[in-house]
Amino acid sequence: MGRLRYPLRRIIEGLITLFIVMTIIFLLFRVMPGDPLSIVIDPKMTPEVKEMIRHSYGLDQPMFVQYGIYLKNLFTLNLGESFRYSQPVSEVLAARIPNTLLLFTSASVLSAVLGIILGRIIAWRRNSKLEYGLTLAGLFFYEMPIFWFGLILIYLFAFRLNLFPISGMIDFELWTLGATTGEKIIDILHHLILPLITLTTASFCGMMLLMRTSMVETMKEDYVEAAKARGLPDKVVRDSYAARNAELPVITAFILSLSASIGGGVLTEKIFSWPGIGYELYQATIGRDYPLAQGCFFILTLMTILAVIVIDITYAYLDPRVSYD
Amino acid sequence: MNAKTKILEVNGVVMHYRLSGGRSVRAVDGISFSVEEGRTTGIVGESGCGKSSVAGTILRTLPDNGEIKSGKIYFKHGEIAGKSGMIDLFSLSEEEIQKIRWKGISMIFQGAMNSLNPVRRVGDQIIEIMRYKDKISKEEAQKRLERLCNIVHIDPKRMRSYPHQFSGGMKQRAVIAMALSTDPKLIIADEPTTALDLITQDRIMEEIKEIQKELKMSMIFISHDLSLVSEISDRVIVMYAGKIVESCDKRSLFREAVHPYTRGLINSCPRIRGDKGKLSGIPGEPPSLSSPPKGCRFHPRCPYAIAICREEEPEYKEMGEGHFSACWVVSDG
Amino acid sequence: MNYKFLIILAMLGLALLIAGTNIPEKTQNNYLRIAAGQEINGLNPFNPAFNDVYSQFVMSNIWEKLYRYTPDFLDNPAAKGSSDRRIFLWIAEEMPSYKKVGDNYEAIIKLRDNVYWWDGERLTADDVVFTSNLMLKFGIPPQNWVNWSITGDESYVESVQKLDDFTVKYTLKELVPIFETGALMGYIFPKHQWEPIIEKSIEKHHKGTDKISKDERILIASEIWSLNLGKDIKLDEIIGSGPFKPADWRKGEYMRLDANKDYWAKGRILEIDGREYEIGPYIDGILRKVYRSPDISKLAMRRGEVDITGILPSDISEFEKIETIKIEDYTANSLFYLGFNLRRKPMSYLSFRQAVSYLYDKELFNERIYHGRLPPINSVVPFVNDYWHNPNLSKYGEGMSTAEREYKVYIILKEDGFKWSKEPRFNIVDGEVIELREKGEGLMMPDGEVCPIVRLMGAPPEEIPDSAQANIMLQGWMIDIGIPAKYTPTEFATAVDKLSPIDGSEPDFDINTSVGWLTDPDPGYIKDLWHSTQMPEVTAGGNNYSGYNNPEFDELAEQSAREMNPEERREMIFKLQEIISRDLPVYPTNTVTRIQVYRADKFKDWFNRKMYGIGGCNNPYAYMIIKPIERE
Repeated sequence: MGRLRYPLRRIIEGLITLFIVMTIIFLLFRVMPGDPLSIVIDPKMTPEVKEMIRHSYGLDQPMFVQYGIYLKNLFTLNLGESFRYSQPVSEVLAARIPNTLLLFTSASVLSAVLGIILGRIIAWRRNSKLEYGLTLAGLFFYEMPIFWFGLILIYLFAFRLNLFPISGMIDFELWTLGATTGEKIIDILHHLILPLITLTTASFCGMMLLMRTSMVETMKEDYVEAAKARGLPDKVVRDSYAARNAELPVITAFILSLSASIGGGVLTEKIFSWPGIGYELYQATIGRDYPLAQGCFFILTLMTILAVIVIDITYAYLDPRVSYD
Repeated sequence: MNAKTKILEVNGVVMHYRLSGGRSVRAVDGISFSVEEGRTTGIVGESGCGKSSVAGTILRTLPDNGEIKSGKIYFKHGEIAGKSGMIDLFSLSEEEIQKIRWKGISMIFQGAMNSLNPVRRVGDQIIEIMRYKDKISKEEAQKRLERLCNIVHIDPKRMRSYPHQFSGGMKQRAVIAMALSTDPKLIIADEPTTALDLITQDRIMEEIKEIQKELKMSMIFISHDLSLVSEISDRVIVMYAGKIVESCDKRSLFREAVHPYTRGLINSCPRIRGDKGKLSGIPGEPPSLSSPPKGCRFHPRCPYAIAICREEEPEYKEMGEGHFSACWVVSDG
Repeated sequence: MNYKFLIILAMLGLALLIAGTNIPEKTQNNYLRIAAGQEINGLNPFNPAFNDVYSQFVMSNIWEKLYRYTPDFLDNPAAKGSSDRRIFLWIAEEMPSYKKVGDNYEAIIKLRDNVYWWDGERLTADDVVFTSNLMLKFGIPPQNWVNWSITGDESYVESVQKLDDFTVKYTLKELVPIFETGALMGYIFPKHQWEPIIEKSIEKHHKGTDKISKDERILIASEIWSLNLGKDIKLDEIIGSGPFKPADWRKGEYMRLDANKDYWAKGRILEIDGREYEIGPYIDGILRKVYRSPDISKLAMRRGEVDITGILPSDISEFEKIETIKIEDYTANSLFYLGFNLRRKPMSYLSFRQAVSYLYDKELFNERIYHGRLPPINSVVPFVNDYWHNPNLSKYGEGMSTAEREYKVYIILKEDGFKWSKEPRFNIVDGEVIELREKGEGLMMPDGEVCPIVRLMGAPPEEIPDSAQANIMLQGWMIDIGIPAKYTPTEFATAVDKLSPIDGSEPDFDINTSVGWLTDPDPGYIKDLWHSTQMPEVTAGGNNYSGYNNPEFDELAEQSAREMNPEERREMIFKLQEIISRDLPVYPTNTVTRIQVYRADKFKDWFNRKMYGIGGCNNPYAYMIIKPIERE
């Protein structure tokens, strides 16, 4: 019984959070100045046509009616229709989310793995040249504008050395003029590598420093000293004593970064012409495509709430001291 | 003195902690003592006197800023690195000392509560050390674990639990089991019962004594509590400010101890048995080890201090058979 | 631990492997590969949101029009007697012939009898009548039906009828030039594809037998325009008559158009600039790929991934070195301007508007900030539209130095009664203004009130960095004279809302530099932009943001919209440009020059169309005539 009550409570809390966030997002878009019709503006368009468009977007209704419809739609998981694409938001998202997952989620995973591995190494070898070198390099890439960094990588590795494609997720000529499934998979992977390297290089540092800090803290714990005194091999002490405990906060950050990764990244998607959701969200916000922007935020909020629940569950699994009975 | 074989011999060991600005703390300042096979040597002193640093120096588990300046420690181990007999521990490489740890010398830590990894099962942690140190199979380790459980009075089933599910006493027992798990030649018990309530403390002490008797353990027992030390040790060493001020057999301790500091400790000791004697503590604070006072380090707190105490360090002299002390007042008068 | 390293090693290995794999050879082909900057919004020709140039480009290759403008915008001898001599026959075989019948006019349009839809059906008068009725009866305006006003109650079209398979008769309430350059220049849709769809929608939303009401019209229209072409109607089921058919579309990535091998116009001769071209298409098709960053499409062009792309002036030098690539530029008929809100002081003072116009040094901006990309214009009809462009308008300070301009402004304001608490002072040597010595302060308007802060509503730096820079410079010069100016960066969507508020309230801005227009070859837009009925507070959503209200202008604009004789109309249009230049509700500042690069070694017979360049939605001729160059 008790075991069930906790998750149930979390789910209810999550739903309430979702409701509040979605309400704020609704209001935010309405309060923000800007006309959704700005994307269709044309001097030859008569006021009557503008009125027709406004009506078909549902913008001629009073705000509370719009809000009511919005809530009703959310309840039935209907995210509405994008103004710009005149297509259900769910369809637009469904087309973009897998692309985003492929790039940004793999990058999150990769930078977490890299960050945890490097973080534990430099924490273990504190004050070594390796620590200074990795921290400096990590911070350098972390602080570098990703647009610029991506451009340099594209110029060097794609344009000059011809190792990778310049941009996009697929080779359009190859795809449209006929390729086998195998070739297509290789092609996507081929396109994936450069943006993946860019993102990972730019973001592993956060994880690395977090891991390092957390590990340095854990290394002060008695059980780590004790394990050393027990004469356990260095690697065992590092990995199953110090790192194992230091990973807990890092895993929280990792799961949150996973949930955030679904939002993609505007600049990366722009420079690599990656058809992900970040650029779409940006365009939707700029063009006041309320349904599309709201849909993006809905997914992002949902993922964050899920991530927090997942973190709780993972914690109970990783740290036996935590239990939710 | 019986011709017992020594298992550990500590000879004039000096160990400093480096501090920033070129200063250093003389935590262990020229200490010599030995441990005989099957016997227990107790080290007693106030906190900060350097007694735990002695343990760290022996096992070489000092923090990064700990620096062994001089002295030798010999340990009777089987063959290691082509050496046998009394091995000079300081001459061993990190890899070699690694082999001594837990195989030769194991340790029951100060704050046993926190010396277990909170995210792993207690049993697994003990099995792990056995498997790494003795290269035995899982099954064998499991069997040995059950035996250990019997020794320390823990239900073997509880070994599947995590540390936080254990009471303080059980954790302590588990840590003791862990120290015993690889059948070491010498155990260093550093304040093994400090964090426990009095009743549990008592029970654990009984168990340690039992184990001692049963297994004929060689042990160094470190505590700030003279009554505990005297209860369990064959020989008692009293440390003050990084130095040994007195050492003698347990039997003669209460009667024959002469050093004013030892006497102070004896007097402040609540007698468990006997009448409720007055509790006379030692006034004042132990000195800072980064700038210890000139002369005898105890002189600022010593009620008997005379002029020379402030000027010169007293010699560590034999007062009677097996009884050494370092005090101007006593030796002169 | 080790396994993690292994995973990383494995991934690195895989990465190298993939990087090293020989990517399958692309089949040799003659597709023209275009680098595009944006995704296509959608292909539904009725959806007003699909007005982006990318969607328009694809649509313009699917559906065709009765008439077009001549490729080079030169006079067409056949168009003699039309309202615009540049009208060119496309699906229509002859220019419309008019006859007055009672109060109305009849326009007879003859169609060619050799125009075929992709599915083999013939394009007939039925299709034309069906398409026109979409507008007239159901008020469903297709995207490129240039003149939206045909839908309203004030529509000048009474009815449309089929006379025979290839003759259509329009009955008009009045004869207006926009009929030719608007209504007859809209896409024609296949009745057999769209009629069932429209009828189903009417059945669903129209109750009773009366005329379709406005509310019903809105329901029907929005249902039609939410139809998803590519899904609800599959790509290969779309029926058009144009030279390229949509064949494959991965949203956000690419679209492929295949050449229509049986294009009805194949073999026809196009005369452009005195040279004859035979219509193809000769290429296999068009592949357009999305590159969201111009930095990258430039690299793609240099690496040979695409055959045509737009570049920035700063990139010219790196392409000049490449022999196989040619550079072409064209000046678009864009209109950027300073828009004054005449409802507010001090913008309501003509002298003030003149002052700001004098200060806006468009030559300097074009040279220093825009690198020649934004040529100055003096009229609301950009000079590229040369037939309608009035070249004899005031140039407001052309050739003057900054100090001279500032001095001029000081004189203008002073003469009109503006006062300063501290007048600006100038260094004048032998009657020549050398420099501003002391800034003016405390400007007071002729009515004695202190001049309020004047906000320059411009695009924010992150949207258009150059424009922000120009705004900041203008702000500096205004402050020099003592005008309390403040550059207020405003996002496009917000600016539109402020210029023409949704609720029909008064526009909220002082001076607008953030919203411009892409104008049509037909100057009819002048009336749409500055007629007094177009004020947003009069007609919600109107385009006369400035609130310009001049009966003289209104009357002449209305008159020009009815004048069928191009010479007469031209005079009126010239006069309208003069009035705007004199009254300055807006001050035209610049248009846009664009640079394109293309592969001259792969394709030949490129055609750079005036105002529109070598491709895109407004040069439908280009890709039906380019030819692949034989390669070994």
